[in-house]
Amino acid sequence: MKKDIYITGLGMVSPQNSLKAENANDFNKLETFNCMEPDYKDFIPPSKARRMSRILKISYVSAKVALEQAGLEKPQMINAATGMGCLKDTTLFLQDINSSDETVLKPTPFINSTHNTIAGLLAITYKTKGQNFTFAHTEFNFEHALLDSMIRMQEDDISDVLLGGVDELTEETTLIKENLQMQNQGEGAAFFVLSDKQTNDYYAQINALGFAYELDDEAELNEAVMNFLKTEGVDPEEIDILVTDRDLSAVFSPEKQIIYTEYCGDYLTASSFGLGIAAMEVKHYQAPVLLINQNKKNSYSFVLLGK
Amino acid sequence: MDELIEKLKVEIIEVLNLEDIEPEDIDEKDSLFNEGLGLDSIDALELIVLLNRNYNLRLEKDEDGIKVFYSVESMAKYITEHQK
Amino acid sequence: MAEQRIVVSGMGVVSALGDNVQAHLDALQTGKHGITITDYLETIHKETFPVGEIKHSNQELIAMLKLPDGAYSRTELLGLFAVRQLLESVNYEMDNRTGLVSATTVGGMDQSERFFEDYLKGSNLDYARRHPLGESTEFIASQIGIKAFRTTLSTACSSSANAMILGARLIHQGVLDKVIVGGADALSKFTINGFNSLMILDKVHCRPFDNERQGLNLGEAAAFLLIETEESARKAGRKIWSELKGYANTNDAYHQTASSPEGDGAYDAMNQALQKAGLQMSDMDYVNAHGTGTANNDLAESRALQRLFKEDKIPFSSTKAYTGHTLGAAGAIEAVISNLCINHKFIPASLNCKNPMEEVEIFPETKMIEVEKMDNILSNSFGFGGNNSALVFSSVKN
Repeated sequence: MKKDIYITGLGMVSPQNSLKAENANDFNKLETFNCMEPDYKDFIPPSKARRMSRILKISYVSAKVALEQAGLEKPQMINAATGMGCLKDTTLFLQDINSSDETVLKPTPFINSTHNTIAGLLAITYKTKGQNFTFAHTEFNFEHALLDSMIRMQEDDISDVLLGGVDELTEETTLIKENLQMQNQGEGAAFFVLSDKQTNDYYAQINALGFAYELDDEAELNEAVMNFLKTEGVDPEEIDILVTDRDLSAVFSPEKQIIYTEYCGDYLTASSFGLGIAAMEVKHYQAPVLLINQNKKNSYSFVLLGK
Repeated sequence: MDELIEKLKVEIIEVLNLEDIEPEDIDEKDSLFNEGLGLDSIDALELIVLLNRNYNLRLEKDEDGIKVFYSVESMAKYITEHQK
Repeated sequence: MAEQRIVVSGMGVVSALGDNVQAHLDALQTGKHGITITDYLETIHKETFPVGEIKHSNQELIAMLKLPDGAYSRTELLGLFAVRQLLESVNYEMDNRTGLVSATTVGGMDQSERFFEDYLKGSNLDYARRHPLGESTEFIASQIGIKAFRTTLSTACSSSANAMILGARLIHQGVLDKVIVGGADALSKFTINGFNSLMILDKVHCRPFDNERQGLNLGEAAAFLLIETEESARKAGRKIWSELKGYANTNDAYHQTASSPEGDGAYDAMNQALQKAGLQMSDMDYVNAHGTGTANNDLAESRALQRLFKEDKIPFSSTKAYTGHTLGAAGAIEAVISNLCINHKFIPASLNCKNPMEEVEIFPETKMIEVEKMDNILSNSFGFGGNNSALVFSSVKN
């Protein structure tokens, strides 16, 4: 029998005051998107913090909050998604290579530069010896991590997953992105606990995840959305809230549309923030929410959340 | 050598990012690894870089590392003996 | 309902051993390794650290691949080279039920390390666009006509083994029918200096499992395999190399770079992979070890192997003295090697291994052996961040 999947914990460090936000209605549209960082001393013991870069800290904090909310001490497995990885440490090591002509380099930035450092740190922290994947794709990266998490949860041995998406902005990459004429760049970490059991305070149930690739026009997109919902036995009329990364009101217009990138900016794992907002909306309104993300090639991901 | 010991304590705190530790918290005779500050193999590598960058010293053999980096005092001794 | 068998039905590879599968077979059977001094990397460590380098410049690769002039990362050029070889070898007809799961750790860093300062000044930006790991996957996907599912994993040295695991899972779940799985990593100043900062590079040809070993030799490679259900392979008339019978990914949860000295992480990964395969270690005819040549890995892995071997003498070797440690591509190239071993019934020698390790009783095969029976192979890939993967390949009657 197919297991239900619930979001029982959520932690987000983002350009919004999101860390322990009850309600996405408190969020504000922004022009620039740098994270509101907490006082890390409240969350991270100094002996751990000393070796953590900023991206590790925001991931650690988000994961910690999510696990505490879920009442879960030790997740069985960890799936992380990051499109650009640990940029600050990568930059530091690269700069060290150049400034010291490749001689006698400090190892810590190199060790911290690999994409899977984030998931690795969480495994050490929570002594989680199960699967530890890091998804490092560009588009739909976080959705791929979500897909794998959902698949794993249908397997007998897994009843919970710690899942997260994170990307950071650094001084250097902000400049490079400007040079590349990439606009509205953002950053943030969003971590989720997925569980096959409801808790009292759970956010939402993840009913379905789907993809539609290289659609020709809005009509095809509308059809894809309808088919997706139909397959899940959901009447489109039941969807009151659409969370999306760009304006889709011409294609599908429920009562409320939240363009989440207006709150967190654009980055390769921004859809994790989108899922976070969607989960909060489900909890607040006790109603189903549809999350749609688009990539550059007119392909789409759909996530259906319900109560 | 006392000056060097105090200098080393400050440098170690900086290089290993020991934010919550003051120089006076470090006893120069205490073991740096295992107990004491509880440093690990990555820290050992960072200390090797410290020795090289700040004091222009390279360890002669890998085995020396355990003796040299046992404590702040042993590091100071090594530097004093080998600096030209 | 029982899961369908997942089989390997095609392979493509390029490494220091050569440009195709046959070259790898020849090298492994004759003991001819590919470790040399780098010809292409501009580094002060040029003469110091031997590497497993593919002897084609980027320009040559672009010409061989008949690509238009432009900015490419070496990683994606190597990746495309291996994937095209795979597809041509089986005369593949692309469709929308075929996906790509690729793995890499370097991505476009081989270019970014040259042009980073330029990016900041706003020049050579075409190379900046190649930097993200996923861009190499997207490049390969668009070149071979994959319009649907493609993704990228990056878990250090276990990356492409994990790509195989994810691919298998996607097939079992009906997300895809066929998956091209594997990985690519190019040599770079970044990784040479990185591993040197950890003091785990050997200044001579590496010596996995030797008591005097001093570290690893870096390598570069791209290796991709086609996996699908047995039914799907037979329907298409494709030769079946092996069944991917078992797999597991676990985490040591011990330390960022070091393995727990008792090899607990390695033990768990191998144990779980065997369990998934429904087999015991005693059923294995060969273990292709991770065997990098570092003090830490080889000790941890040997201890884990010894615990699992118990009283049995299972042949094992490391092939990294042939190819170098190819990081993100390691799991996949060793999957290719394992499949060659199953189909040609031989065990490659663990090169440069003369002195047994003091801490353990087991010792690898130091000469190439041809065998009567090669039905089950266990292949290990253990990465930084405690990321441990093991794959079990089993022979299939065609």
